[in-house]
Amino acid sequence: MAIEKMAMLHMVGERADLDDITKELILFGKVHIVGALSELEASHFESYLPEAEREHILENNGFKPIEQMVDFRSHYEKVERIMHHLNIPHKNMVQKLADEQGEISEAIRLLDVLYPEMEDIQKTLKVLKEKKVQLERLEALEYIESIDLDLSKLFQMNHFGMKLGLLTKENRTKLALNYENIEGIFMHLGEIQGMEAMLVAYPLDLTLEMERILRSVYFEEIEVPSDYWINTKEVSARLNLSMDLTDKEITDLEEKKTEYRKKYKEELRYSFNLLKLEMTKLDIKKQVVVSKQFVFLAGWIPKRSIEEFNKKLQKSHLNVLTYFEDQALSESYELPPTELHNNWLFRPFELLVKLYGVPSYGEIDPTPFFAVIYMILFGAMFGDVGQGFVFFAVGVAMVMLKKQPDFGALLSRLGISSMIFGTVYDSFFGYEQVISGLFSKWTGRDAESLFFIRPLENINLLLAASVAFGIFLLLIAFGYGIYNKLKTKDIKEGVFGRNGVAGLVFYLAFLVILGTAGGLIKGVSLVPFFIVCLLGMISILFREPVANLISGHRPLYHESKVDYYMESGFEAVETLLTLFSNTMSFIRVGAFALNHVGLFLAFHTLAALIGGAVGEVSMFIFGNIMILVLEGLIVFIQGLRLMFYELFSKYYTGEGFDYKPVQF
Amino acid sequence: MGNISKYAAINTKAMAMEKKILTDNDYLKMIELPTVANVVDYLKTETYYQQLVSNDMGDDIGELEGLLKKHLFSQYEKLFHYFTGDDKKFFKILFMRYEIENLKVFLRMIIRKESLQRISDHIIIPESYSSINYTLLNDARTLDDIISGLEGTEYQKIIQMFKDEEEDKLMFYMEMNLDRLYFKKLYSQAKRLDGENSRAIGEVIGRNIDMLNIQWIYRGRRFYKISQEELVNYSLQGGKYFKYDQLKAMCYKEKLSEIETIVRTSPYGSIFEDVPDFEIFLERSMERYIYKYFNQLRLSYPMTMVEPMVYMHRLEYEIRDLITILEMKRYNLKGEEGKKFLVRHLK
Repeated sequence: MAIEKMAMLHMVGERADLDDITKELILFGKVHIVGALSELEASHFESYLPEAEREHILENNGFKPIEQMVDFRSHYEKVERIMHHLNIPHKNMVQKLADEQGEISEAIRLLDVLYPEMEDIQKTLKVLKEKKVQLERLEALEYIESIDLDLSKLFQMNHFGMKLGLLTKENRTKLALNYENIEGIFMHLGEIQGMEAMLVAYPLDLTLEMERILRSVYFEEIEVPSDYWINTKEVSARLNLSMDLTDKEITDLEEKKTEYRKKYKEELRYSFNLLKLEMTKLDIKKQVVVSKQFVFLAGWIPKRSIEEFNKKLQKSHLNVLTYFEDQALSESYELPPTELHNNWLFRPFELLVKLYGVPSYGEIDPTPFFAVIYMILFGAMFGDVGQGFVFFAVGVAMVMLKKQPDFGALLSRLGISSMIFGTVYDSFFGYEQVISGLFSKWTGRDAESLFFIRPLENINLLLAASVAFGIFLLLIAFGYGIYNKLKTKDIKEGVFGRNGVAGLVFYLAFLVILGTAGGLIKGVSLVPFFIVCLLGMISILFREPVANLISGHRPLYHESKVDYYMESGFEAVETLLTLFSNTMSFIRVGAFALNHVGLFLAFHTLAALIGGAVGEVSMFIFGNIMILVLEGLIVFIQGLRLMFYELFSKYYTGEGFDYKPVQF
Repeated sequence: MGNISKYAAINTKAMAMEKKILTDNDYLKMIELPTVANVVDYLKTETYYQQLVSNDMGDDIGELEGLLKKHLFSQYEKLFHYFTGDDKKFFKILFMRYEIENLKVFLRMIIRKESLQRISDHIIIPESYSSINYTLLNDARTLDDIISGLEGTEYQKIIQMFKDEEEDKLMFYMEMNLDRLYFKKLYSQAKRLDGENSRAIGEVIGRNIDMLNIQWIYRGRRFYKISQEELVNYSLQGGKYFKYDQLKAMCYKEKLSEIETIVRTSPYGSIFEDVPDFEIFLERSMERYIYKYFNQLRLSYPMTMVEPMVYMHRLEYEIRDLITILEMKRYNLKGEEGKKFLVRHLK
């Protein structure tokens, strides 16, 4: 079976070793930690403590969750910030963590030194950049360069104030429309940073009024520092000088950062790893319980990893006691988490199965069945050697480049399936006869006598085969469902329900009737089959009271009788409809195979209409891309639909939860 | 055709929601009830507000006010999901109003030194659409705290600009400029909507801008002694009937009564026909005007964004009226006298 067997791990260790224990667990990476408190309460763990240690451990038996934990979050954030400022990419250093007893205090010391310095540099850089903006704004003064004027006089008049600043175009116009009412003189200098630079003069007596008016048009004043109170002709030179100086300061700081980067790169990375480890430890520490001297923790571990785990513990020389149970003792964890374990061919399909739901621990993993059937369905609907190869190649590339590798792996498998069906369909990028031509050359036989089934020439065969395949799948689904239900002793649904034995018998009889109506089956009296159908419906109708009678459950109905029969009656009728539609639903497999060829046909015709080599080639490329993307997506979804709706709904609940071990 | 497929769903939704709006009859009944508790009781038993008002709800108007505002906001959210593209952007700006209203509450608390304790009752927190960090504002004790708490938002600059203003004018300045910011954004986004919507929304915004300008100019001169030059500059462009020149003229009129005359003889004159006291009923009359105008608008622009806009405004006015009705009980205002203060015009 492809669902990993799990065991519940109970572990007792010295409290002083807590950090080392958690580190081992994290680096081991295969234990799904659960809250230890409820496990502890439910277990009689004293019974499996060695005689000699029992007294000792149980002394002061007050196991409690840890109340205070050192939180390294702020340090973690600091190191992240520094690395961000210095532009150092992250790197996992698991090996180094395992080999060395890294000192967190050293990492913190490094941060305590580096962080203030780093923040200082960043702050200074920010100030410098603001200063640059300010200097750029002061360039407004260059607009009055041609007037030979001492600015110190201009800004220090006895009866008039002077302001330099920026206005938006809109506000400048607005102000201009009301100049006659404003006691001041406005001089437009020119454009700075997309705004209008203005020089404003006003009587000092009216300063407050002028400030209010300027504020009402969102005037952004540019302060002119007193070292610019010089002759207008010299302003430009001084500004350039300042600008150069500021630029120099900025480059100096940037260089300093590069230096830091070189010097501390490895150290910072390692500190980051150490802190990340501490943070992960915290996730475990939140779940464990401790007494004065000991620590107790619980978690799920795959059975096959137990041996490896024990070896690792031995090597670590930690003084711990471990105990493995087949199930959780506490009722809070009814089922172990689910870890799917499939071979390389099927593994990518776990992604799609989980899309529907994670199988619960006891359930059969539907992935292998899903994988095989889904590949067949996809290939049958999208059979083309050339296009299949494109999918395959793209999928492999995604895996190699680590761009959504799970999906890439899935795509490559679907591509192979598509190529296999493409061979049967004799289709290569939509060109028929290419493959059959090759085969007849190799074998020397006439192409027509070979095994090819070209969809358009075998429409009826294809559609009928799809439905037949669908019936086959539905029967398997019935089998699966009945098995699963009987395993959990669900007589009501397993025997009498629509997806149980009653449903199956009903379906078989129904098929015979359909077959006769369609002329496939001849010379059979239908009377018994009608009776079986009727019995099936009746069984579905009365399943709850009958099942309860047999198993001795009371009351017979869990809701009012009227409600039950109303619901059940509809369900019986619906069963008839759904079984019919479920069966017919598979016709789409053939239909999409036809559709696929049909689309190619359309593009070939278009290509022929355009004519010429260029037309044909461009149409060929466009058409293929279109079909790859659009039809690829549709077929992908239709396949999922068939699997989820037609099949999974019959036998699969997917109510498990994922196995999430603590990992670095 | 394009519009039908685009707005059929949202219009149906909006109309279905609008069905629940209180009738005139509800209003009349509530006005006649003697106490706050009676009104709360009426809401609980006779109207769709019953899902909102819990059973142990006393006669605390503040708490109810908070609930109603939150309700308004949740209705907004329901509609919001139906929009796409530029329409959605437009609706998102409409959210900004609540953000600004919240900010005003905080500012009032700080400036008028009111207690911040009950603030969560009064503000609607559209966190998911908000750029404001409410935790920082909540902890603010001074205006400077608020300014630093607004770091990174477009409001910071505005508050910063006026922080040294005289205390009695401060709030007026800030509120006016926050509203300006909102309407300017709304105005420019409305222009980006497609033709029909842009025209329809433009009609509303144009009228809204007129109303704001008139109020600012009147109140600015009457109560806050704001200089005429400033008022000219603060008035918004894009009004429906009052363009720059008319606004400027209003600002520079010698007497306030002349402003009143200008408004009374403008296309908005009819709303002041039976209003003796221009000053007291200025705001209410304008809201009444917009309320009635919506009925006209939805007929002229079927299958546009107007429908949800109408609903939202009607709901908002209803909630405002409800609060007025509750306040009426507190101040013992009876029947006809109280009706005057409602946005909805009751016969």
